Amino acid sequence: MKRKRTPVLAFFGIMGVLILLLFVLDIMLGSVNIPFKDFWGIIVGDEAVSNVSRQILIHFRLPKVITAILAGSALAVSGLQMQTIFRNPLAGPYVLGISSGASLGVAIAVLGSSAIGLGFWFGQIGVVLAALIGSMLILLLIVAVSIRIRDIMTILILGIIFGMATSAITSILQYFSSEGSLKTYVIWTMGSLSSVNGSQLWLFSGLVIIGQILAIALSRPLNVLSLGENYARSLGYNVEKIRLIVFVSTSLLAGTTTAFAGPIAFIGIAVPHIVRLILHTSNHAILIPSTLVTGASIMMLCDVIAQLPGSNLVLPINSVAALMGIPVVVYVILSKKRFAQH
Amino acid sequence: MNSNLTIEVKHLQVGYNGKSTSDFNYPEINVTALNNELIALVGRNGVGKSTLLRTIARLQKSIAGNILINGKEVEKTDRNKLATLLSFIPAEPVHSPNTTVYDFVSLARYPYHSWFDALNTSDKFVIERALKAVEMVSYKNRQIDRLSDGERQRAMIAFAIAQDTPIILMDEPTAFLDLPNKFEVVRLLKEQSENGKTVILSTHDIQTAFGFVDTIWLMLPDGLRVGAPEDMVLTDAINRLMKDTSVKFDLNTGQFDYNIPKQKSVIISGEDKSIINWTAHALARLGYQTVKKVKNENTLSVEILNNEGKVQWCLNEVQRKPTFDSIRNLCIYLKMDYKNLE
Repeated sequence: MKRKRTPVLAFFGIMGVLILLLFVLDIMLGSVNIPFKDFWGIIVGDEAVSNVSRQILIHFRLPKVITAILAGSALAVSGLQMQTIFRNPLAGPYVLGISSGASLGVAIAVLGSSAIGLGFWFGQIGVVLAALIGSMLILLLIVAVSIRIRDIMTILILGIIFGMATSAITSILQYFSSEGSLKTYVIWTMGSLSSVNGSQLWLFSGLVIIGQILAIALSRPLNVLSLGENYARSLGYNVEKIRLIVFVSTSLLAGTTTAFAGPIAFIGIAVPHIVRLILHTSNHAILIPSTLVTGASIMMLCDVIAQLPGSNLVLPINSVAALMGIPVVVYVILSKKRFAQH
Repeated sequence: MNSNLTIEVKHLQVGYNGKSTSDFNYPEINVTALNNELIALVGRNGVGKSTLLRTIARLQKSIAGNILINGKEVEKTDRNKLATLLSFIPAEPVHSPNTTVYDFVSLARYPYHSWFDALNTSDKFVIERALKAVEMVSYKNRQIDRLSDGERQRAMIAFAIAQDTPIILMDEPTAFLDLPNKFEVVRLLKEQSENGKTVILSTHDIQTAFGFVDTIWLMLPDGLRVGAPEDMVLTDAINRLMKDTSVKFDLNTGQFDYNIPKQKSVIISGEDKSIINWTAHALARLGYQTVKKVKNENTLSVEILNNEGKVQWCLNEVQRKPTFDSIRNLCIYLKMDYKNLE
């Protein structure tokens, strides 16, 4: 056991430094660069700093970085939970159809309203609410299924099927919608960290923090479940109840993230693997906090890259996250020779 | 009540009472188990061995009847309490990436703790003792996924020992093992029963269990028979198990043999008793019955010669007297000859 202690401490030490570095970098970079001198000035309360820099930092950059931290940690931890509960290395936060549910909600709000000729503009909070309602409805469906069905693979397959069904409905809505609202919808699917503002940020952080607390409280049951349900049951755990709490935690994490930042793919699958590759442990008491901090820092890194430092362009965050995450997922597939043995 | 009694099964009906066509219902079971008792639950594939074990371990519901553990009904026992009375190790080899043998075995201590407190020194002592019992102390930092099947099964036994329950149930612990490992696993379980535990292992491999266990629970399609292995032989229950196969249990040799009709006869003569016996064994496979006196003109005569330590088999035929240096060559000749006669 001692053998492991040093790398875990070193890991958190390095991660702490990395998070601080990326935090500062992500605040400084953007369409208007804030020089480090100004950044430092604002931190220490120097009155001489230009008001423009101060406004940008407080009203745009800080919410964006906090969104990146919340989204990255939430997606990564929920991906870890799904990989453990389904005992499948390719599971991620969206296997239960949470993002499809959110997409359907947004599609109905953005596309549906124009398709039936109402044409009123929902606004930012409308999109968030629609996505939240969509993902929560999928959660209720999954919970209803998992109360009746004990076989976890059946639940997984049903989650995927629900996702397909909602995508089909979304396609129909897309087909009949106007060009303008279609573009709004497509831009939402590309993800954005900069659309969460002051009051929404409180709601977002609150929900994610509840989800993370649940996740951390579940470390022991997840350790046992990673051996398989038979072990968990014979050690006295109520597997159905644990599963329910995990599903609630995951939809709080992934559902709210999708609502506020759009469906960001691959971070949730890739980050738990990066952590496992470094720490070589299956103990969730270590894995969950490590995945949390790694998810936060990788999301900030993605955002830094998305700003394309030195240029005026900004890439969609979803594409950057996918390009960062896919190599990791490919590596995991290729390195697991026993993949089929599950 | 007998104070040694650990498990009492009364009027138990196990099986699946589903709406589907796969209804399965085993005749009523009444049986008891004592501490210090090593029990092999024997039966053919699909007869319901796992179902019975899983029902006793409360991993699935019974259709009717009661199971008492230390005089208390299983269904009414608190899950967590039950986990300190009974451990169940499933048939499938444990699979958990990034998990050391020590990590795996330490999970067996969870029933003694709340969700948050860490393992203490007495837990560590129990874990070490369990690893020592299965001779796996030097393996404790090895990854569980990199062990051989035999080592993995030993780790699974260590898990059951570390759970520190008076009753251990193991589903098919010998199924994936070679012969030496099968005997090793049964020996380790026998040690546990000698330490005062009730150990029940299910197996379809009656030969491995036969020499070691105290009691056999024989699951025949029409009901459960209970007795010492020898009782099973003398009541012919064991041949009921072999029904519809060409294999029979030979009461005299204590071995299973193909039920080959022996229409031909042979006289074997020689000095060494064991060579005569094994020669008779081989010739029985070819359909020869060993006799003392000539039965008819077709009765074969084999003489075993010992020329200064070199054993030879001499066939006394009318025209010639071919000799052979091994039983194999003797058999090859007899098979060819038999074909020529046809």
